Amino acid sequence: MNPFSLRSLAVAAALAAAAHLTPAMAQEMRIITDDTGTEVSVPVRPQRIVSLHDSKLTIPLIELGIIPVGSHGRGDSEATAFIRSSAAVTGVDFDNSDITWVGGKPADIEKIASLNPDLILTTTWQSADLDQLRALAPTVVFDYTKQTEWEIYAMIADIVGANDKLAVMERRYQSQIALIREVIDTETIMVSTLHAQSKSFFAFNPYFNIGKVLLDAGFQRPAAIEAIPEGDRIDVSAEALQEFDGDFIMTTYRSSRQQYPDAVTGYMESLFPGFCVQLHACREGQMIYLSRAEAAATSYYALGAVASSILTSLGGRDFTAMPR
Amino acid sequence: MTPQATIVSGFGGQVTLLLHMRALWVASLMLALLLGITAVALTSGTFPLSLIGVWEVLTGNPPTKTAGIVVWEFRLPRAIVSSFAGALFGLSGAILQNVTRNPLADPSLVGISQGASLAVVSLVVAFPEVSQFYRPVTAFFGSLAVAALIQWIAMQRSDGATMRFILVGIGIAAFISSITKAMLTYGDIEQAQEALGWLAGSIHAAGWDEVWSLTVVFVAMVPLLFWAIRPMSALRMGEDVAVGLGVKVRRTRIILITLSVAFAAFGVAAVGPLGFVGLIAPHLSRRLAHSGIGQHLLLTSLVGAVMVALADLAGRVVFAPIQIPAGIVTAILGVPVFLTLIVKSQYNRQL
Repeated sequence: MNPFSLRSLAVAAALAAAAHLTPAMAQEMRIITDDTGTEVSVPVRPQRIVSLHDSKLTIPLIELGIIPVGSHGRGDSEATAFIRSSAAVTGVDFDNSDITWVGGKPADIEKIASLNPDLILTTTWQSADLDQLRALAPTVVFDYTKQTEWEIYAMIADIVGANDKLAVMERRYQSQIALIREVIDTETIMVSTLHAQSKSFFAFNPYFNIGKVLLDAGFQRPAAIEAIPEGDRIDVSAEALQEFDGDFIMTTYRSSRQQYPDAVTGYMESLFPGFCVQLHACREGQMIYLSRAEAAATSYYALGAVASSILTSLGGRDFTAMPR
Repeated sequence: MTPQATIVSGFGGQVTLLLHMRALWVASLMLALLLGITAVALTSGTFPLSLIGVWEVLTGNPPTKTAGIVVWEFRLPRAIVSSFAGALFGLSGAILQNVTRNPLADPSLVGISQGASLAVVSLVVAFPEVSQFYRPVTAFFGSLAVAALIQWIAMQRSDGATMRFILVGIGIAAFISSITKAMLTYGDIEQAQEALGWLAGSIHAAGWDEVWSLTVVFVAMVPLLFWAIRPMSALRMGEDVAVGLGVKVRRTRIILITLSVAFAAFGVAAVGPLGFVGLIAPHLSRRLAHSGIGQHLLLTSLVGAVMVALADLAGRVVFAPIQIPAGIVTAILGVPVFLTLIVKSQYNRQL
């Protein structure tokens, strides 16, 4: 017997015993299949959504015009809690909305229960127990190893009935990409994305919004980045730094922690004294710094901001090409 | 004047127990404390529920469906599992300290925590697609495998002499830990974070499955504990005395260490490797009341249960909605208490 079937039975019994009190049950429902392969009966028009990933789920919801009743967030107290990147990207945060902070990782299951949700959106990253969440409300699980964040965004729009709004934002983004392609000869320019923190250089394939815009606009990328398995991040040895060089290097700083471009330069200098001399892009003043709020949040506004930054930084300017 | 100990006979004089009165009082106090903590746990949390509301839930008239779920599915199993897990770790440490005659022995000495950690971290980092439902089983067999390896090496050529056992344990545990750290360092950062969360020891996902499985563990293993009391009492007086009393030391030592490993492995499988409980609970109970082995084991299990139940309650409630893993709280609360006791006992000795 499956060792976990007892819990499932108990949860099912609890749900069945008092189904008439569940908010979701009073609504029109439909079936969707989440990334765990579970068929979930969700409300057609959910009214009380709890999101258990701030930058990946809460921001898309807000952007689609849905204010969740509760959200995962960062911080260590009610006073300092925040929805990562949201203030910069949507203007909505815990301190100026009715969104209740339900904790971090794991989220506080009782806090979620107190919000009486009719739908819970979560990811495989969140460690709150799935059986417990499903005992409270229909719970849809997203898995970033199975879908890109933009496919998940589209699924969220479908779940909350905001496909029209998504289509408008997608149209705007495609026009921004088209403009970049018109202004810049993207296929002749190699743009790398390289980042640093206190302990290491690191790189992603691709790096969230920057990576998406660069790929969609058709820029070249260093072979070292293309060699990283898609969706992965690697630490980069200082000795291999030049493999991540390009005509331009885009890097990021963590403004949410009051770290700005000089902090990134400081990290790079401490990891590899004289790094700037070793990198063509840095030597030639062709290194571009973007805030991670816009660079990493799953948001069409942020995507547009990154596209605009790239268009402004690279369009119509002279630059020294890296010898190939 | 109250007698310090009393003798109780049963089964026609075939069973005779020497009961220390102070130990009985302390055990009663610990049991009352544990019940009190459970009561507070049932009425505390971020879901607003009054004492009357909890009572209504427990008597079958929940004020809301959600209130019923919060009490029956979240709070009650969590309180029970934390108590069981604390008792398991405490008993494991007590047996180990007795059999090795080493006051610093705890489940990490025989590689239980390290084995479980390596197994689960390997699963999370190398096979992220595997469901987390397999973690308890993985942790259990990881614990047993490493503990068996340490025992096997320690038994070569020396009949498992205590010092050799301890040194082998420290060496293997350090080796296993270094592999675990390497996997955490080079693994995917999100998977590593997830593994670290489990390593911190957490009871937040405990449910009725864990309650039933730990109940079965206790029902099955308590008779073994009764058997263990006599040889443990003999071993406490030293190997030579134990031999003189007819104890087959090598075989007994293997059985007792296996018993200790099993207790801790079941605990780790249920809630992750909670640090310090196995080390501190036996010392605390010894300082609270001197007694024979049997009462010491009872007291240690209760002290361990109180420690973890209190740690889990504090981790769940004090900084809510932030959830602090019980393993961190046991270390934060337990270590200062332990150090205070050591310093105090040294001070008394100097006096």
